[in-house]
Amino acid sequence: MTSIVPFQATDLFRLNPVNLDVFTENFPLTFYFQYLSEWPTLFYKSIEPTYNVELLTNEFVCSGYMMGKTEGRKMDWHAHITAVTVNPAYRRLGLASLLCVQLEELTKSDPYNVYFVDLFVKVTNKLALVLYEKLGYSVYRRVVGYYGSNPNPSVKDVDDDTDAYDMRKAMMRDTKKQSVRANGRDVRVLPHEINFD
Amino acid sequence: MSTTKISSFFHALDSENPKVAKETVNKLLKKNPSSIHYQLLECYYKLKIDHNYQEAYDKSLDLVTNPANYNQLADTQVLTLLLDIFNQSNHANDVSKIFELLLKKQPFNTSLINYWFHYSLTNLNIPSLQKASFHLQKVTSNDEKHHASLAAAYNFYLATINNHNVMEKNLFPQLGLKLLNTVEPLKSDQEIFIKVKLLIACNQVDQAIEVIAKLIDTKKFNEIDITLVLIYLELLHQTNNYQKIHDFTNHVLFDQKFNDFNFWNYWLLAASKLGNQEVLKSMENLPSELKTSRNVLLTYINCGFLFKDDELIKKSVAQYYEYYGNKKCAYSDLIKYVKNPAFDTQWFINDLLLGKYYKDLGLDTKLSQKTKSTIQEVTMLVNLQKFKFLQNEPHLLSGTGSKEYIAENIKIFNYCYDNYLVHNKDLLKTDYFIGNELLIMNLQVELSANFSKQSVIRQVIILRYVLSFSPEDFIVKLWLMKLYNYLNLATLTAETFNSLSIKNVQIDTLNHYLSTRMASTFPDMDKYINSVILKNLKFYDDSQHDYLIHFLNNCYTNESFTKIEKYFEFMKKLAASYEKFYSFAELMEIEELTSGRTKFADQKKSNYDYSNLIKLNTNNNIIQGKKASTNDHDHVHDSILSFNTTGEICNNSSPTDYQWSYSDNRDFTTEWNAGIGHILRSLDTKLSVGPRTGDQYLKLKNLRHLLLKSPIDFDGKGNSKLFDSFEKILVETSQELLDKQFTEVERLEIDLYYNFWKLVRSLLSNDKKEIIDQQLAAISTIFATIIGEFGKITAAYVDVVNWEVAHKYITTIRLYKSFNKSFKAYKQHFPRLFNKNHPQYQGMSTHVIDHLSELQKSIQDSHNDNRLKQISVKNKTMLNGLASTMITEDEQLKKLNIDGNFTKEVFKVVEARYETIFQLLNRV
Repeated sequence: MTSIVPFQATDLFRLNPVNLDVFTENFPLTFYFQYLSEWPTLFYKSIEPTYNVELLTNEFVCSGYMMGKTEGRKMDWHAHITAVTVNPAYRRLGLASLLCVQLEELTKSDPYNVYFVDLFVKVTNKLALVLYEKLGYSVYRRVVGYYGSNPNPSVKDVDDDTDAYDMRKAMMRDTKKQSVRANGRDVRVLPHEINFD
Repeated sequence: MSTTKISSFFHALDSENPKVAKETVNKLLKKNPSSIHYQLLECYYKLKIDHNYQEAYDKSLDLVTNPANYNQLADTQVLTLLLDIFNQSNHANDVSKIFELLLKKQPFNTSLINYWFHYSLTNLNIPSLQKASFHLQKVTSNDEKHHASLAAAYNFYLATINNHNVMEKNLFPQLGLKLLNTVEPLKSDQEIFIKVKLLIACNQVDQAIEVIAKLIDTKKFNEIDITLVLIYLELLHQTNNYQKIHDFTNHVLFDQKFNDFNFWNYWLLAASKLGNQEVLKSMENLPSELKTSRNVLLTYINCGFLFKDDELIKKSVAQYYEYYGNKKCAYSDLIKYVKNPAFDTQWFINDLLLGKYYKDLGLDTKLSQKTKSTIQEVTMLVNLQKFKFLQNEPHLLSGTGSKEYIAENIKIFNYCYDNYLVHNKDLLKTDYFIGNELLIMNLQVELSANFSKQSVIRQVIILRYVLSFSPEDFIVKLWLMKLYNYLNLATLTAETFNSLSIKNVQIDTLNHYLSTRMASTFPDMDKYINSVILKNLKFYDDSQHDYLIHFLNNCYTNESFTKIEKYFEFMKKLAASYEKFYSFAELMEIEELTSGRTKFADQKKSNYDYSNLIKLNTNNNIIQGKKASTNDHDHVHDSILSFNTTGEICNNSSPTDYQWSYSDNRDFTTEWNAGIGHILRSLDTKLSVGPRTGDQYLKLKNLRHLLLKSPIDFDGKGNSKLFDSFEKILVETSQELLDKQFTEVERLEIDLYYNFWKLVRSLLSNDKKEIIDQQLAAISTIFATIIGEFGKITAAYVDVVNWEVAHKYITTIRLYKSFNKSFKAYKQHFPRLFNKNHPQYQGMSTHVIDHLSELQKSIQDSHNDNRLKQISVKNKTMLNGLASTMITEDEQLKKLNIDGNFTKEVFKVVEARYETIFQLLNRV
């Protein structure tokens, strides 16, 4: 029984059932607030009504959230999935897909009207790769050392543990599908090359 | 202006060196007595050191009312100091008046108005912000006019909802709307949001509906901000406009295919209000992909309840279970229905779960033959056990059938473990093993039915075993920390806490696992607390506030108005965080215990965080907080259909109520999401490190600490006022509430000080002998109880230093040390009262001095007799005894196939940690 509702600052006090998950990043406050202040409609959560047996009251629990943003210029104008995560108690229900599809719905037309949606995913995260591929995303390029700390990386230093795939899905506005490519897994770039300013 | 001298003045205040601060300000004033800046420094001194808020405020006000001073006051540094004095002397409401006075002379001083806006934002002062933004839009040039007017209009809304003045509450939204009219047409959803909020505040609900309806008519559904859509539905609901709800939700659910539970709820509500029985037909005719969605299946169940159709309820629940009975959410989804008196629980458990799923699907055969299982089957079995727990909760918790239930859970756990977990190569690191919940349920049942140190240690072994194959299960770790805390194994709690990588806002919600009564249970300042607690306290650093204000300002710049209200609420909750002030109070108690002989004490003179915390904690506004606030209970709608449409934290109190009262942001519920799924209050209390501390607890503790700094003169000035606050809280709080927050020894301590201070006051005011005798007798009784209780802790039967034993022991020693020190200070400060010639000396000697000596003797005796050593030996013997029994004979551990060596290893760890505790207690 999922509803999508806007994320608000006070929700941060109640994210433990989601953010205590070891694979979910718990960002500094400023990071969340930057998203709230700059992309207010692209930061939302899914909630599940629950029943408090002790107090005999209806309540809700946050089952997941999406932090999205828009960036880029001209043909690079796109939406980016910064974080999408689901409460372990509500996994295997398709909530991650729901949250991603909602971002597409919100950004495919006005006021955003983006050419594509993109995201970064660890190359070893098979579950996420399958999910995104099912949703129509494909690998656009491999970002070598994206999760690493090497100050002088080289595209030759391919490492599954530190590399990310930059995955994209073209939106309606990209009529010629120029934002995606078929051989993305073979294209390698370094983190500093991903710059949309 | 001497910048260096001014800095050294503030530095002296921060590092608790009032003498140097006083000398500095005197020198500055001698040099330039007419300097407004220096005069304000003197006011600031009165405020901070003398706690003379009224005088500080009055003198500052005099400076403001003289127009000759305006030029000097327009200097930002001077102005900030003046504003801080107003803020901290409980006159935040007057901040606007200062700016208004200054602007009378320079009405178009844009930079001054901008400063006003930012100062108000930084101090989260909404009334002042509203006035500043109103002035700002007046002086803003054409290009920025639209933007400035929007901000001003929005702030009229904010000031309305944060206002208790009826006239302003009515006037402000009208003024906001008037301002918005000047910038029509509104361009974005964010702008329309302001108009809608102002219309609602003016009680013009129909117009608000109209504004959103217009938007809905002209834009595509996915292009409208969902915030407005949810407001629209709420307003239609409020005005009983069910036809519109029906039309709109019908369009969104069926045309737009937005499968959202809020919309299903409203759709069903409208149907029931309109007497639309066709709703069932609509549901049956849904496309198949929608028909099996969780939202639809639950809406179907709601239909059954709404139309009071028992057959439909059964049919819909069975349908839901067919698709989602093998998902973890099934239990939390259905709990509301199962608990409803109209629901046939017997049918649900016996016929549906045990009959259809357990037997018909062959789960019982699989279980007995131990054939390979799938995650779906495992989940279904766990859900079944959860519902059984729920059905038999009172019996199981009182011990009836608990042994059988625990055995059954272990049997299922072993099956799941052997046939799913061990052989499942596809299991990902991100997957949680749902079978662990069976053992969490066992913990909840066993510790409720049979609470003992043996059962607690058994559960520690089991949970550590679970972590050996599920190292990332955070619910298990939260439970483990609760158990460690009960046993007073604080270093193990800290290790577990660290393994959860808790950081940022999680510190505010979860640090209580480490900080609760740490000063009286494990005050290891040099290792444990320095490495964990002080690191965590850095989260509250003031510098973070500046960054957060920057983004709050960005909300205005970017016109993200839908986020501002809750942003303010968050900031206020964080500023008044209970955990922040609680941790600090605990550190102060450790200081008392160790008489400042800690690494922490060495650091404090130069430690920025520390001085910041002193500033925050000695802020009288906070101590005199108006109202306690918690986030325990959300706004709810107690019906089958719940309309918690925004999923926001809704408190009854308005955001301003948080301003100067603690905000309890601590999370005490996440661990209860597993197992039975709700807090078992009795077990929670048993495992807690003492009663749950609340607002009065913290205020009294902080005031006591401040009152210990120097003897009270009872002259109506300085710390006499703090004593008045202390007395007011103590007198006005019911005994019941105090007992709910304080342990026995903590109450005795507070009572001892209160009676002692009252005694000094009576002696100073030459009260009647009977009054003084009463006070002396009260002190005598308190001392006798403290001494008696201390004797019990070190008595022969104590063999484990759980939190309670350590707490009593350490608190008594700290109480003795600090009271003794304080008593000496009073003797020195009022030699006349404590002189042998004083008529009350005999009473004082018998009831206070002799008792103090007696307490000292008790403590010394416990050291001389090596009682701690004796307890330590008994503790070892007890642990060894338990270990040998558990390794060889424990039913649960055996059935779970927990290796004897594993158990042995856990006991080794526990024993070693107890050694540390004894070493620590010996040092106290």
